[in-house]
This record gives sequence, structure tokens and C-alpha cells, in this order.
Amino acid sequence: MKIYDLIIIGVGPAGISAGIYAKNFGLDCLIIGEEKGGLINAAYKVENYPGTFGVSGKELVKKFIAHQKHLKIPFKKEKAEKIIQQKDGFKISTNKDSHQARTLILAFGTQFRKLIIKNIEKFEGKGVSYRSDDNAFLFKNRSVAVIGGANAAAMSAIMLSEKAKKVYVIYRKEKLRADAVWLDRICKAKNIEVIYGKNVVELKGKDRLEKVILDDRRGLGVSGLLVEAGCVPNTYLIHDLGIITDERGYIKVGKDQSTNVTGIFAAGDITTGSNEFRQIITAVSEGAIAALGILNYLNKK
Amino acid sequence: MIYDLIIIGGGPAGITAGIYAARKKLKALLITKEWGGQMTKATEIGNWPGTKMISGNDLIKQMSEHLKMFEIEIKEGKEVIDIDKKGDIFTVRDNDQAYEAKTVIIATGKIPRTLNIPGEEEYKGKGVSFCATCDAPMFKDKEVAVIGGGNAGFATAIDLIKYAKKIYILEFFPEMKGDLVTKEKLEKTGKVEFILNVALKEIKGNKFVESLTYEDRKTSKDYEIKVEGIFISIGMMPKVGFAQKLVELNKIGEIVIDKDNYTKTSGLFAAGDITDIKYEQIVIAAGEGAKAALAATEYLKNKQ
Repeated sequence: MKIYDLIIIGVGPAGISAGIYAKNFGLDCLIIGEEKGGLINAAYKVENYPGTFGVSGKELVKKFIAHQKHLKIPFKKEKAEKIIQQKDGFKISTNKDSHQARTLILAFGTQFRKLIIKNIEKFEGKGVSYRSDDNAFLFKNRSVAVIGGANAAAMSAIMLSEKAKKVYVIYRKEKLRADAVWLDRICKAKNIEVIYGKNVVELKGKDRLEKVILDDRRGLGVSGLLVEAGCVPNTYLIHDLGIITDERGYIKVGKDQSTNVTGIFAAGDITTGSNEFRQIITAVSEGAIAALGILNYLNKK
Repeated sequence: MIYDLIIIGGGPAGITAGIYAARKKLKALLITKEWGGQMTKATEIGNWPGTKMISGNDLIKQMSEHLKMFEIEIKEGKEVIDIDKKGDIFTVRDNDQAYEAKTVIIATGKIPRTLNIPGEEEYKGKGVSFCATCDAPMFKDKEVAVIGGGNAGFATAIDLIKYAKKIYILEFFPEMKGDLVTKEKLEKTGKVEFILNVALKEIKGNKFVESLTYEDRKTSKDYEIKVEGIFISIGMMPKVGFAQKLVELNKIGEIVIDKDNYTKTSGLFAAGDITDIKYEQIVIAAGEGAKAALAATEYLKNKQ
């Protein structure tokens, strides 16, 4: 079996950036991942990737992919299922194949957090969604609710307010923590109502979602509920490798994005890097640093 | 008036810090001598993710235009000469004015290392150059010297091959440090002469550069070569004199930061090539700028 210099697991901004750097250094590398771009696809607008103003998440992903294709960086749309450490490298089994590499960069990011709400599973895909880019989540002239108070929730509320009749933003704390620019837009939108200090405890409806119940027993008639409750790390792959994470499951990395396992580096939202600010530009930067770290490591060997 | 944040520097780190600060609606001021700095000398950048190929000038223009879409005050063409802190407030001075702020991010990058020999300053722009990409065409059919036998010096020589009649590459150490492949490529042109063990003495001339004198460190003999251009390629250095009181420097003069871009002075942050980060890349500098601005935002919030 062919042995790559480097396999990058994850094809979001960190993974693609690592691939660009690795390829430019002449490393024989492969990227494995399921969804090109990852969570950025769900971003309504990206306004803070330097030099690229006001694109949608999907448009920015297209640019990253065009760059990856331009450099002919090999990519396989596969789901990594198991990583085994071998003499001088690693073996990765996917849902379709298996691959070997001397080094790894883990860049498989996070997934949207699910909440424990009565009946929530019953209505997933029937009014309940975790992604604002979900095509099934179209609510023209209807009322919808968004749970959350950070940038993602604020952004989604603005996007939904352009089509929906009414948008409720339900947040468990007393103050939204989204960037000031988003808060301004929420204040200006006439059809957004923010409900502070409340949680959704139950969902009701026949086939589809019809009503959400808050913890003060108030019911809001909505045909859609978007859960924007942040992200949790994807950890299923790393259990057997002995990679050290923090208590929430984020991979602990050094200044050079190295993990505690020799030959494995990590980059992007899955790590504790960049003060945990978890931005597109910090993920891209970490991908570059990890690739430089791998290059140094391979040169020393 | 007291700013929330003053950012010093208009390269990728400073601009990204500005974008993030503006989006947090901080009352921010960015002071810079110029946009871009080092990256303006790069003709082809192929590793800015999302852009297949772009010149340094075009990329920095896109970035500064992005920044200007937000509400942020900008002072262009100003060089900061001093930063001081009294109580919780910083005073930042340029040649004309002083500004006050609660936090400061230093992102002034690096400048080319100089030789510090007689004639260098006097003939800058009159034969002495730090940028082959910018100045090479002016030396058509002329004899030139490249100072520095590392990869930077070799790249400079490659830029000059098309134009210069003869290129001397001068190196302080007993061997060239640049890649062998490039060295062979240069040798093949028949235009390049490598000189080792060089201790430079003086740049001489009239209106423009006419010659360069050096001592052979092995034989202690002095030599003079007739050249009309001298390209200095001995690396980059940080310039932090204006902040020296407030920061800790490492051996090579870079600002020591922790992983969250804090310097030793609370409220003072640094980002990009001027810091002791391991790798110097445009995209890494931008990431560092974002981190520093977000760290400053958190610092301000905790102070409230």
C-alpha cells in the first residue's frame, strides 16, 4: 500500500490550508473528509476573512476548493473511521478504503451541539434544524424560533427575518453575546423579538413542529426551530490513540500545533489553539503552522 | 479622547486586528507608515488560502479596502516613535501627535537587516537596494553585488540575472548557505561569481555607487570591486525601539508573547512577524492579528 508523507483528516479551512502548504512544500499528501468546507457552509455571511468581504460561507468554501483543485491536492470523500498507530506511521480505515501515512494532521473540527428538549428528535427534519443552510428550513411568511445568543444565532436570525413573518430569538442568558455589528442589525429588524433568560423545554405538533414551550410554560406558535447552541468537538477518532484532550474533548496542542503523539499535529476548531477563538482565519493559520511543523518533523527524520 | 485600542502596523496582522476590532465596535485607531511592508515585494503569492495566485500588492490592497469598509480611524504615513504607559492608559506618539488608548497591539513586522558600514545609508536609493523585485530593471547591463549567500541572496541574484551583466555574491562565512540547486542554476548562467569569507568595509561612489571594498577574512587582504548596484539580502529584523520599555525581547530582538498574544505589559499585545512566533507567513500573521484583537476585546471587557 502506498505510504503518504501526510494525511490530513478534515476538509474545512484548517485542513485545506494545511493541504495548500504541504503541497507547496512538495509533500506527498492526501486530504480525507466528508463535507468540503465543513461548518462554514452554514454561515450566512463571512465578513471577517481578510481581503474577502461579504461573501456567504458557501461562496468562501468554493474559493477554498478552487484553490485545492488548482494545486491538484488529492482529496478523497471518505469518512475516517479508525486510526491505528504503526511502526513509522499510521493506518487510517475509512468507510470505503484504507490509507497509510508517515504523519497526520487532525482537522475534523466540530459539530453542532444538540439540546435535550422533550420531543426534539421527533421533529428533526420536520421543523427542527441545526443548520441555517438547511434547504428544508424555508419559512416564508411563517414564524420561526432560533435558540442561541452568539454570532451564529444572530446571523441566522437576520437571515431568517428576511423571509419569515416573525423570528423569536430565545437565549438562556440576559444579554446576547454576538458581535456588536450583529446586535445592531437585530435591533433594527422589525420582525425579530429576543426572549432573554428562557429555555425551550418542549416541542409540540402533529406531523410537523407547531409550537415551542418555554420554561415559564409560555407557548410560541412556530413552524420552525433552529438550534444554534454552539459546537462540540468530533472526538470519535482519537480515543484509541492516546491523544490528550481537555475535559470537553478539544485536542490539546502546543504552539506549533503538535499533539502529545509524535507525528500527529492538529489544527482548527478541534484544538485548544488560538486561545479557543475558533475563527476561519485562525483555523487557516493553524493549518499552515501544522503543515510547517510536519515539514520540520519529516526533515529531522 | 481615549481609544479602546490602537493598532500599530498596516500589514496582514495589523489589518486583520483592525477588521476584528471594528466588528467588535471598539473605538479603534490604526497607525501605519505604509500598507503591507514586506509582502509588497512578493510578486506571486500562491498560499493565501482561497486565492490561487495574487501579487503582494494586490492582496494587501484587498485587505486594506476590506478594513476601510468598517468604522475605524486610520492614520497613514505615520511612524510611531514611542509608547508609554501611565496607570491603565497608554500614550502612543508619532512624529506629530500623541494618542491615548486602553490597549495597544504592535504589529509592525520586520524590516531588512542593514550592514552598518560607511556609505550604506548615503547611497540608499542611489545604487544600494533592499528589493531586487523592485529595482532590478534599473541595472541592465551593469555589474552588481548581492550581499548574502543564503536563499534570500540567491533569490535576489535570480531576480537580477535577466538584467545585470555580472553579479558578485558575497558571503561572510566560508561557504554559501543557500540551496545547492539554486547555486548550480546561478553558476550555469556564467554571470555569477561567488566570494566567500567577506568582511565588508565601505560603499564608495560619487552621485551613485561606484565600488565596494571588503577584507578577505582568511588572508586579511583588502579588495575593491567595481559595481553600480549593491543588493542587501541578509535577512529581516524587528524594529521595536519605540516599545522597548514595555516588552521583553528574545535574542534576535523579537517581542516575546504568550500563546494569546499578551506581552509582559498588561493591555499591550503584539502580533505577526515582530513577535517570537516560529513561522512567518502572511496567513499566520493574519491569524495572529485576529487573536490579538479578540484578546484585547476580552481584556477590555474584564476591565469594565
